[in-house]
Amino acid sequence: MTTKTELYLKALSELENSTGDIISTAIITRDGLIMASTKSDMMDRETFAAYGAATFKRADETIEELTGDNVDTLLYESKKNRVVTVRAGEYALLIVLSGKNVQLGMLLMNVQNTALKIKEL
Amino acid sequence: MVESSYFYRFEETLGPHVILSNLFWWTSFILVITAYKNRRIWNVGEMPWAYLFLTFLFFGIRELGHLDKSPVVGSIRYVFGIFSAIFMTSALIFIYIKIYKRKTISKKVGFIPLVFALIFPIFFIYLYFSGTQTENLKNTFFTIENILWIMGGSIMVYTTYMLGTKSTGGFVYVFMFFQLAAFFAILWKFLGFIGSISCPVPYSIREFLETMFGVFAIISMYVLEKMLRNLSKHLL
Repeated sequence: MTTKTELYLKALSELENSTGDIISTAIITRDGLIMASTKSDMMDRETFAAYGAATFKRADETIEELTGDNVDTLLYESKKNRVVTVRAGEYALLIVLSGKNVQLGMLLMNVQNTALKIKEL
Repeated sequence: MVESSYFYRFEETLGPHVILSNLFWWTSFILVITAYKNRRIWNVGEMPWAYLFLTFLFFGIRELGHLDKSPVVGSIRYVFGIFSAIFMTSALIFIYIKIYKRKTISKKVGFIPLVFALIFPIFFIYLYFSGTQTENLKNTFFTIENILWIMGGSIMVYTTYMLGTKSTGGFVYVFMFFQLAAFFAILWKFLGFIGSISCPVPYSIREFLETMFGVFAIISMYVLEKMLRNLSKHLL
């Protein structure tokens, strides 16, 4: 029997294969717990999840305070990297850390498509 | 009717506090075991989990020690309390290092608290066999336990505060309740400490603080265990 974790991992590896230059992907809860992550040997998986969830929460609070709406997609970048976080259902978030050798439009589209797939699982 | 002396006595007695305390700490111990089963979901490393497990186990044993009044058992009880203080502080320091400082804890560093904790039973054996009076032995370990809980509690207040700033959702509550537990531990042991040097404090006040320490410890473990259990069910 296939577990949900396996289905999540499949969705994440499809995202990585179709996009390229992705360093790490994870599906996390809004508490910052990892539901699935493609880089199991990554040293700071828990930190990645905790910080990702905390950042999304702050962004959500900010946009709610400013516009009364909820954040759906959060994108932030440095000189070398990008982080995209999107909602993937009621409790889950999809967080992607990528390099800058991928087109932003394609990255966003693939991440959002994957989030929809995760939501349906 | 309860006599007023019950509330103003300075010595330990068996009472509701002992029953509640044992209930809280042994329940927390069971919660740690069930949370440990889902540790892969919150993989903060083997050592923090091991130290959380030992904290609740040793504090439970410490509370069982209330059932015997002999000074030697009292001293051993305090040794278990010392273990518990060291391990609870270490667990939170290691989680802080991993989550907040984003550093990996080497195996050698992970064993430092264990080595530190071993000093105290060796010290106890040395004092016991060197002919120290059992009452003095009990007072010595009572003071050491007080000091370690005050120091450990202060460190826990800091680490849980810093961890809380990087957390969201249920983890905010986990760290908040751990912090409240640490505050009550500090107060409880501070009153014990000043009582031992100059100004005895009614035992009922310390009992209340100790019970509250147990209450917040069990709540924090319950919140953590519930989060892990719910996610584990969802992932099946």
